[in-house]
Amino acid sequence: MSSVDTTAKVSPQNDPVFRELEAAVNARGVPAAAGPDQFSALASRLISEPRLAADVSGAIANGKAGLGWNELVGLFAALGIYASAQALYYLVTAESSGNTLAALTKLFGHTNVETLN
Amino acid sequence: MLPNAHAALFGSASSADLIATAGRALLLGHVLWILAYGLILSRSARSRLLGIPLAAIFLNITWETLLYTGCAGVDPRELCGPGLGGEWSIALTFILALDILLLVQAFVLTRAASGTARTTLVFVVALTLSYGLHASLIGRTLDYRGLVDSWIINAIMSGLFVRLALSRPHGEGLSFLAAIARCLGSLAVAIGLWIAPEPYAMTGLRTGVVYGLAAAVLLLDLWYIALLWRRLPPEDRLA
Repeated sequence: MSSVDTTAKVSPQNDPVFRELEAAVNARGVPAAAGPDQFSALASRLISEPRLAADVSGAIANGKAGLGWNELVGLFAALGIYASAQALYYLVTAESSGNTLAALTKLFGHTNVETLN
Repeated sequence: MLPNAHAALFGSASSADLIATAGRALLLGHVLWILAYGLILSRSARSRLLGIPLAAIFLNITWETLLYTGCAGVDPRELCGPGLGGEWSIALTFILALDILLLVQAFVLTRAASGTARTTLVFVVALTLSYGLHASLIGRTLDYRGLVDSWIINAIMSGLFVRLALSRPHGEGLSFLAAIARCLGSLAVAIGLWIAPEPYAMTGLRTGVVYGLAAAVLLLDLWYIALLWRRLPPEDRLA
């Protein structure tokens, strides 16, 4: 059923998945597994510590703080939504700016408010 | 409905009493926001994951900076009103300091994955753009003390928090207590504005927009809290 070749010779230090797991575990202050059978040692550690495993898997799958294309698009899309909301508010309030000015005049009660126009 | 409830509750209160009561509610809201930022910082530091959306950090810190500098870059600068003093000055300083810590934390975490040059470039562009947008809106719409702007940011931040929670199956790096503090903080500020709207030049459409955004923030914050309650392991809810 499984397509994983358990007899394959893999050097952990050259394997990107292992390195990613190792870095994520290290980032949480837990020394990563070391020694000749690093894959199984690290796997055992993650199995025996479910919270660490959930934290690490979440970090790798969703929480990377990097700025890849997805993150950049998300960031500038959020700023775009903000700018659109601003534009909408500006358009809606354009007609009522007189009211706002009157409220500010009442608030300040002196001449520099007149420059707000 | 809101004006009727206000009249029933505060009809006989003097203006000074109203402003003092509103001030306490507003200050409580700001203290809760400070608590929320502190909890987010602490949770992010422990999990090495950003516990707040990056866009929220940029929008927030630039708004605080703009207010702190007395509307630098806004035309006219009088829109920031007289300088804040006393407890308000302290609260704003605390919030700005926590914003700076959040920004530094975000920079460190992001740089580790994306490199210094790329991270610096994106941060500088996003911060400049955010500040420019704030200054432009406040000046063009005569948004006294950036009140409407602050609620637009708040609503967008709440939406981004929900998106962040949806993207993390186990709520990794997110703080349940911070979510509650942030929600209650926003609610306290909205109540403070309702008790004494006058010092913030809330009239006409501006009133409706602020309360509408406050309602949207409340709904989104409740959604975020519910998401974290369901996704975080029970032992992490109070962490």
